[in-house]
Amino acid sequence: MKLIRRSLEKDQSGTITLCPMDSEDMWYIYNLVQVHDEVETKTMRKIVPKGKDGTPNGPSVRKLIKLKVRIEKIDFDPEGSTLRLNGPVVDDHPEVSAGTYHTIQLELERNFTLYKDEWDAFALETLEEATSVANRSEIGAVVLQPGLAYICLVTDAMTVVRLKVEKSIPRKRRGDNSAHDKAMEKFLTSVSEGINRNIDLDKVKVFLLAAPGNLGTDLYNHIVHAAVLANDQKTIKSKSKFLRVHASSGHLHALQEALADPKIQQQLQDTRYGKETAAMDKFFKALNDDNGTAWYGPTHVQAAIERGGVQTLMITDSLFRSVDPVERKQYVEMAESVKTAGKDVLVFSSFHASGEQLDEMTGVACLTFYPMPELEELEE
Amino acid sequence: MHFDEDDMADYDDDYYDQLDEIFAVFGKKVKEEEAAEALEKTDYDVDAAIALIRAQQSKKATPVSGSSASLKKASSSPAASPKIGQKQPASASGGQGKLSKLQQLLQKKAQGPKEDPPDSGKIKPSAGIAALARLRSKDSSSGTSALAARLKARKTASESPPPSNSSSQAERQVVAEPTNPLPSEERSPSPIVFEKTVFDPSTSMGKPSRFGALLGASSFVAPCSNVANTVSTAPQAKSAFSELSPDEKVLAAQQNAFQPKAKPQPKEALKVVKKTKPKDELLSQLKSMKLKPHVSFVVIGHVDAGKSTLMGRLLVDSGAVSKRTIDKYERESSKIGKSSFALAWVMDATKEERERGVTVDIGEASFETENTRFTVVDAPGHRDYVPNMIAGVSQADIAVLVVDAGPNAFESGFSLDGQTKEHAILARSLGIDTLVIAVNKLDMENWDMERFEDIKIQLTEFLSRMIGYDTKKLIFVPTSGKTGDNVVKRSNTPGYTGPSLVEALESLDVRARDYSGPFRFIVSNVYQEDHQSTSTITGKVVSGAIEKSDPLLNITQGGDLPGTVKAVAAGGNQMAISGDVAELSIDWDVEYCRPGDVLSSPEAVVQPITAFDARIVLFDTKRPILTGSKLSFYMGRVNQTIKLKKIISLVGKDGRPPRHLTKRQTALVTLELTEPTVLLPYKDGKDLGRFVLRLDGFTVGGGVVEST
Repeated sequence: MKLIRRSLEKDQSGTITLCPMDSEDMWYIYNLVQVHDEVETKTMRKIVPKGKDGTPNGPSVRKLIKLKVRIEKIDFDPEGSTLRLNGPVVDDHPEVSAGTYHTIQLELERNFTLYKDEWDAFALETLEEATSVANRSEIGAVVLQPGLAYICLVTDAMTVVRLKVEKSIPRKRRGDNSAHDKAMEKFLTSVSEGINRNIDLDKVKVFLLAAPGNLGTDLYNHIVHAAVLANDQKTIKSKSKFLRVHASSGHLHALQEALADPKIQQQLQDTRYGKETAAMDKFFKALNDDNGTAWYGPTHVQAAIERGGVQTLMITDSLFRSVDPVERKQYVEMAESVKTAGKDVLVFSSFHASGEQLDEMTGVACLTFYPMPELEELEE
Repeated sequence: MHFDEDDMADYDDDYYDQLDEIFAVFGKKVKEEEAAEALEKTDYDVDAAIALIRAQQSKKATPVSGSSASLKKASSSPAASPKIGQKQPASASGGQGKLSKLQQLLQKKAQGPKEDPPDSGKIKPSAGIAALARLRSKDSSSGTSALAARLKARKTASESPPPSNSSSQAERQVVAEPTNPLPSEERSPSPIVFEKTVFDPSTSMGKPSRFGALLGASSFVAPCSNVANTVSTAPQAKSAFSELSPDEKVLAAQQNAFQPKAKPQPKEALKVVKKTKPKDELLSQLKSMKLKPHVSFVVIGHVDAGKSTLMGRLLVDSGAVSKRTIDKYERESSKIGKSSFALAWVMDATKEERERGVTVDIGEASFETENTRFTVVDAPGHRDYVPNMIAGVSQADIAVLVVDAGPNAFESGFSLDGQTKEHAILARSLGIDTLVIAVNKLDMENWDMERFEDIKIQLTEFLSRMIGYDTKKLIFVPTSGKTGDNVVKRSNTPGYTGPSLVEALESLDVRARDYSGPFRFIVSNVYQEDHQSTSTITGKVVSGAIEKSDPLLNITQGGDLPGTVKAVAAGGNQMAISGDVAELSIDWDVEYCRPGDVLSSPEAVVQPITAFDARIVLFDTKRPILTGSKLSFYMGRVNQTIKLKKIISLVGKDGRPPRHLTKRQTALVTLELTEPTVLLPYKDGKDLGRFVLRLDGFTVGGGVVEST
């Protein structure tokens, strides 16, 4: 994302103009915008020409006009990577009067200006992250079991399912297995075609084939065989990008098993997602050992922070997106106080499996330096 | 099939040999075209082809007209009895005479069941129903007294004017009127008192173990048999089905809200459709069945313990698979350099399984001995295919745990992540309480009985102490699948005096079958035969009985499409009863039914649900289970993601429920499935009330449904 202009006042209010460059940026903007913010950009709107007396005059036309909207509703679709912002128009426009509602869909490579009453620490951090030029890595993956496959793209910020393949495969029978074998062949064909159509192998760092048993190898052979037959140089060249890893099933949550594989963790080491997964593993281990160093839930985490023993704070971005400004403020302060103490704060993306897990346990958790058994007594 | 030219000659020879074999069995009764067709259909498997022809011939022989069918149903009338006599020329007397004789016999037994000699071994067909009941249950006192009581009730009923012979098709479809004395008599709560419960978990769970805590807890010790046996008779059970459960009410309300013209609710279905089968008719049909008890067992154990090879050997030596087939497998397997897998190919049928030498999905087969009919389910041992193994276990009464006696092999299967352990735990949590442990590959150890005893001690310790098996229900047998020693026949085992594997299996007491409840069936596989309009559905009968032309509903799919059974095959029988692994032909589209679905007779519809309360036991988990955690839920072929919605309480601990569950805890929880599934409280039906939880490919817990 490109930062075009930045003008902030002393009271933390102000406007920032940005230009989203790729679909991943939409996710950052989604984390940036909040209800009550104002956004101004060029947008398409259906305009009905009016006569002198204000009555409609002639057919309506779609026009590209510049509008400023106070946001009331935010709608993000990670699959299509579209962000829609809905609310009343703020400034009068010759063709659209103030107060009428409009939905802005942000477009790639089109500037927009965002006004906030308060750019808090989290917002500025997100902005910095979004505009940094650091290389972002993408991982392609397919998790599959006989008859079920998910083809996904794992980016820094989210896991997006590009295609779900479902086929009923007849079970094996003594005597005649042609139906089973044929159905398996067909299934693998649809999966490898799905990968071809949905994943740009040039862009991804690696492509994971995660499956139980030997299915991953079967799929790999199938892909290579099909590529050779079709003389698909692109696939043949990126053959080395395919990595076979183990997963216990073809359900989407098995993708995390595959990503936790040491082979993959090495590749992911510096990425945000890799850090999240590693931290989550550590947390679960501590919780399972019940040694009093792993806590979750706002009350418990707050108490741990007050005692000054927090080593790592884990928090999902969904909490910062909270509609209630008081709640958001509470979490921003929580994160700030840990950061100023020089400790780690990890903001999990709720569009990743690890963030989803954290969301399930209230969205905030921490690891402490020493056991705090006294927290057990706290009410939720 | 893929053959190159060299093989073609081989193949032709084979083909004519196969034809000859068929003629040898059927003589002139089968035409050459028929035989050829059958062979083609069965992919040139002689045994299957013979079975097919047999099935075709019996189909031709069976009368299908409506009137004769209804006559058959009303078999209490004298007109029907000669028919039974004809059908069963082996029986000495006609149906009616025999029936009354049996009634007397049974009454006598009811009066003094304890005088009955306890042996329940070989019984001549002439001993009839009593023998059947005894064999079925192998628990003479409870089985016979139950039947006797029922028959006694039936006799009092028939002393009043017998039902008119005009019991037409229409009448059978309507709820029994009071004018028909027979069903009304049945519906009155007949006080069936069991001297011993047919299934009582407490008998097999004497030891305080984690499973004991789960399954033997007070609410479960309620004698299940009483509930199950009287579902159609006891008033409380009846009301349980005629009234909607709270969940059903909610579901119904939701359905009504969204679909004003919803399909008839189960309550109405209860009134409209009925299939109250007169008991004596059921018995007369059972009489026509072979009197051998039917036992199904699953073969489990660590990968490469030799499960499939052992089963291949068993099927060959017991005559269920011809030598010719094995010769063929030997030729083909040595061609791809896997000749040692020839026997396993009997069970491993897919390309992948044969090429890699690893079983992936369960394989089923059946064989017979002099005394027993067996259905064998061969489960995969590899860790990745545990879900398939779970599906296999749910089809079986007992399990054969195969362990590799080879140096280090036993130890690796027994290690932390070894499947010997995981399978034993899984089988136990899925309700298997009897294990036959085949200590395999002992030929490699020169039949070293010290090694055998060593393994026996280690396993006994683990299975009884850690998992809670009853030591009396563990039988150890030294075997070799490769050489076939001590598999079917005792042989070549110096220092060992116990039974062979098959002898051990024959000697086991199998849990009593109860076929009086409503018919319920768990689907394990669905397919369509070529050129057939019906779908063929295999699975396990969990309660009740079924035969041709019975109505059925798929209650997992909402039960809105009534189906009719076109044919039943259960190990050579045309009728399937509770506990049988059966194959049904039903006039449904092949897409309508999925593995894991539950079929039911229309009078006992249960609504599928998503949320339910359960009692779960956690094993060694790698991470804690939090409220909101997602796990994999396995029950037979049902495999879904399940969410822990709420922790109600820790079992045995008062006070505030914990915020999450960790290893080795037992808790009462609320769970939520992603898709509606048919479940029953464990006390009402164990097959639909037990499940296993897994996480990241490891079994983390087992559980039972408390309430739905």
